[in-house]
Amino acid sequence: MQVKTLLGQWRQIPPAIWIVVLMCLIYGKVAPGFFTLSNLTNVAMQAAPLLIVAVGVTTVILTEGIDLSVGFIMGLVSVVVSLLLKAGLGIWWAMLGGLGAGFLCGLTNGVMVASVGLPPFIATLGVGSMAYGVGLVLTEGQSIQALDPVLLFLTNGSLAGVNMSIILAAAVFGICWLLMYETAFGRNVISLGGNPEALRVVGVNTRRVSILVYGVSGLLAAVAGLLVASRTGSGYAAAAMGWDFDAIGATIIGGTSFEEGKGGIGKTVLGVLLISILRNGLNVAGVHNMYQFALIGLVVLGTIVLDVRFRQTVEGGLKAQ
Amino acid sequence: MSSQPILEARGIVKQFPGVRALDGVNFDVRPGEVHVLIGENGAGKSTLSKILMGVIAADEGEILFEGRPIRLRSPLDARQHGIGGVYQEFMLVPWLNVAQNIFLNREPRRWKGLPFVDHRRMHEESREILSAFGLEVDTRLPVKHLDTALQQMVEISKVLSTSPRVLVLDEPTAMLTDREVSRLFERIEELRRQGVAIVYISHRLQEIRKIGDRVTVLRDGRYVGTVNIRDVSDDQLVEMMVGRSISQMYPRSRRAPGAEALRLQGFSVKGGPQEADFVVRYGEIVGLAGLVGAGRTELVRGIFGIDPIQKGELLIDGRKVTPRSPNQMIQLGVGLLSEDRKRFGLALKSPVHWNTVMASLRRHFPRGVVRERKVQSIAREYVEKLRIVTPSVLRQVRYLSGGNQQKVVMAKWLDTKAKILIFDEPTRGIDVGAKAEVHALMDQLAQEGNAIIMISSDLPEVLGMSDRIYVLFQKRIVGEFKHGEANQEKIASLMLGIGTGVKTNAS
Repeated sequence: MQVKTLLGQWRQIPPAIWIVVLMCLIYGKVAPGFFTLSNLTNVAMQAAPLLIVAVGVTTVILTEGIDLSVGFIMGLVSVVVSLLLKAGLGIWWAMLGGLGAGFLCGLTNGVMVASVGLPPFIATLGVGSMAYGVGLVLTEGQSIQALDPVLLFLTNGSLAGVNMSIILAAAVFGICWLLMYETAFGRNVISLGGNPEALRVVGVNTRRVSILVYGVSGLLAAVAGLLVASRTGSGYAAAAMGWDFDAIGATIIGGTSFEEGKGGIGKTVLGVLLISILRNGLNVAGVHNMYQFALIGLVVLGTIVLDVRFRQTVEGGLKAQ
Repeated sequence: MSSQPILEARGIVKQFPGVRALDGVNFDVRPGEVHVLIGENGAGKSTLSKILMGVIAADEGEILFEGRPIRLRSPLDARQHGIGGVYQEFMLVPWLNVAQNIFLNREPRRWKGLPFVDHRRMHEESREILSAFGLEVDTRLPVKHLDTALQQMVEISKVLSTSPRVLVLDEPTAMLTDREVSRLFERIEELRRQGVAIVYISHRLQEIRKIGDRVTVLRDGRYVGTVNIRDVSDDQLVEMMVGRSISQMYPRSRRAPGAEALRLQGFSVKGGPQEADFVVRYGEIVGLAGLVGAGRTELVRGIFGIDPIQKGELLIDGRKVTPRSPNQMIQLGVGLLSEDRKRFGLALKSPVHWNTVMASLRRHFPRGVVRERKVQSIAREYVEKLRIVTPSVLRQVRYLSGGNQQKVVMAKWLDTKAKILIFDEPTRGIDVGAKAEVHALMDQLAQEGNAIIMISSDLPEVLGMSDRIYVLFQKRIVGEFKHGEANQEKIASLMLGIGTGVKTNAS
């Protein structure tokens, strides 16, 4: 009897966690450097910007939308910051400019989706493409150096022994958590994906909520863009290529689904960890960059397939009870 | 009853692309009265109610609140005047919990002026609101886990919690069982005594008689008239609604039940009926009565191979069958007309003719090459036979009325050559005139030798249409009646588990 309930509890653990455990075991064997404190800190540092973007993407997905522009926005933001620094502006103004650019891109996404009525995937892909294009034109495709101490401090510095980027990610996550689960705005975001008509009849301006959600996603991408610029000490339009896939992958692995309003930003943390550990482990194990894309795609899709199966059986079990 | 109307609409006109939904309609409601708004589907009832609630704006006409003209530009405007209502459409957010839905967009705040929600107060107040209805629901449960009746009660609670002065209820009982309906009516009575003005939209004649004071009839977007409900007979009301009289509500031609079509022996479905014994013959209509959750839908899902059977036998034409999939059952000549025809019965954006042959393409075109013309001519036959009102078979079914949509679903199953037809709530959400037509068709089908199983929450319909009636209570068949043996009281008490001869297995 007890064995059975214990077994039942084991089965309640989503496959993503098993995959994380499995990866840690494998990496522990094949990559000796993996389980060192410095490498684990490394994982957390790499996870920090991804968590920040993924939280924004999760919010968008909860409203039945999608944001394919975040990687491009991150690149553009790094370019804007670098160019503003180069132009002699103070670092705080430069960062504010970068954040503003990201927020603006996000709001444009929102307007395209909520006011113009374009499907989210094409609207965000279009805006993202333009952001990338602008970044390329501004830099002529070159990487622009940005070695401002304050900017570098964002990833190199630490506070009370904890790396700044980790503190920043935790703070952003905390604020978003409060916004989503403790305020009426958050309720509206979650409701928007479920039954927008229900919101409209109680007097919510659903268009505004939708635009803001994309705006927040753009702003969070901008914060992540600052971290990327800080780590590389430069601005480069293609600096964050493929981050959209990582962010969406992390969201879905976490358990947020397009259709059912399930999941939330808390669960996305798990997805972010999975992808970050996977990528870091591959690096430590010395797998060439070429192979990494395919492997990561494989693991992400595999986890999602397992997870869908898993949730069907758990739900089937619940219904039978 | 005070005689001054609190809310009044004059000369309302509303034009939608292609249709004039409302054409010079007058309506008013006084404090402390229940003013019923009736009319067939498409008559403009819901359009009018949405205008009164500020969801859509009228093109012409004026709205007066306490004698002064007002403008309702949004539901918020309406709410500020104390006008609130329950819509016909589902207006809950499925994955928010009960309390979050009730307080959607007016969440209690933890600190004044700050946006943080006070969850505890929200749940406490929700529980109070619900218990005023006699409902014990866990307010932390997402509403998608509630059944449709409870969801409807949550919608009603949501509106009542705003203490409206004018309450608009658009077909609030469509999803409710009799027990919940009577509870709702008690509540409406209470509100009326408190001086709330109530606009009640329905097309169930029996129920509007129970609670209505005055009644306004709409037909094709036009105002037909307003009368005191006590001064008119049902026949007169129906005549006002459809513009002609409908003499016989439940047609019964002489039916001669023949061979056994389907038999269940000790049939048990996971989460559904237990140990059911059940027979239906060709040429008869068998009714299944019971409350929501009694196991009626699960029974037919088991028969149709959707849910696995645990034990027992299913015989079709005397041969033992193990239902594995709907496809297999269709091959055996069984058809299921779902209660939710929009989700499970129709491809709404496809035209009538493709919907008609949806389940029988293989039969008509065994080589896999489909000819549009043949499909159209097949569909035309059904349009004629079933008297489907549509400008052409090329019309998308979403533009047809509920009754005609239901007929297209019937055509689809008839075209699979199904001989055993299961109707799950065949006339839910269908107006009076079309209801009579659907009943006539079911009668005709039975007469032509089809076996028909009908699930219905509408007791008069069950009594009027069925040759035999099975009553379910808590997943068990607790009674069987022949036509003429049963009456409303006998069946209702069995349904509630308080009747005589109930085989209860105390668990």
